[in-house]
Amino acid sequence: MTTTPSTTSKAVPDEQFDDLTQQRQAVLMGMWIFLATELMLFGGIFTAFTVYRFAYPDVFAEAATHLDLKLGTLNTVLLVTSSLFMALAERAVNAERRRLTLTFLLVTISIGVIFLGIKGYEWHHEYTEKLMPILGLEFIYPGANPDRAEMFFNFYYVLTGLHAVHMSMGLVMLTVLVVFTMRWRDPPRLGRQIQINGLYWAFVDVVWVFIFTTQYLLRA
Amino acid sequence: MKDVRAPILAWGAYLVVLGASVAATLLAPGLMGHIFSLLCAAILASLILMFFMGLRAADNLLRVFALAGLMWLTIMVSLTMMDYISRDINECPNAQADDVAINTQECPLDSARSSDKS
Repeated sequence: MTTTPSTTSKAVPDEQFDDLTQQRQAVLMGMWIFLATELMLFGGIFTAFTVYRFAYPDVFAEAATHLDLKLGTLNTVLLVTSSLFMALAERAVNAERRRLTLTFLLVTISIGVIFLGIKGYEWHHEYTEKLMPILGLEFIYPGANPDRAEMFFNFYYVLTGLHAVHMSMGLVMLTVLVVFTMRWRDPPRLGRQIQINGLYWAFVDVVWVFIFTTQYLLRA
Repeated sequence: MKDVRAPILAWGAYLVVLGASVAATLLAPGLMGHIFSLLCAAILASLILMFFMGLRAADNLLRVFALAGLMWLTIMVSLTMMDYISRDINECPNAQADDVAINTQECPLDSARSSDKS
């Protein structure tokens, strides 16, 4: 792998910081605080889901059987694989290996796009099965207690939809990082940018773990 | 590149735990399978937090912030659920006769709504 030398000084922190260590700690701290607010956003929905899951255990467990477990599992594997490549990209940029960093970022983006494609296919399948009680669409549930099953599918679409929005935002940020990596102007700065974006991407993965478990796995 | 082995091993462990969780759902559906799946989810999340989000090598202050987020989430879920667990939500004293006829299993949140109206 070829390494392009940095065109800027590697050892100078931004003016408001004493040194690079302090700057990196501040960057990480800021990102973790942001992720805590994201946790509260998803946490509120998960709390509401927990209440209804506790109230209607049989109906929710039966409704979950209408989701595609194979595709859900495949998406879970894909997402953690993308997180792995993101972690490898972080290590590659710290080793100042430009081409390898670029490759890992592109693989991460590709897997993320495939994830969203599979999710879109799932949504379309559920739409054709008339199991999409959103935007005034017809909801025909082939089981008992359709009104309560509708509640399950409302949670399913809110959670997976919000997660897909976060995935899309992550993909936009990763695309920007690809451009930055191609320019390769300031590798230490790029390393910090890739690190905090990696935190966001992995957080999206953590959220998906609980979406997958609560929506797909807690079934009858 | 430094420390490539750890995330790859974590990825492998993740797949093993995920496989166990899915297998439990297929082979042992029901309460025990659900509890096992939730435990597996906690392990999967921990693997990501430790190895992909760097908590394994983070300083203590960062770990405190990460734990604080988890703590607030725990408080929110536990205080909310305390209400529903501490009373018998399967009773529907104020439910309409039609509701009972249609919904033959239970009507916990229906009764909560009826109480709010009265």
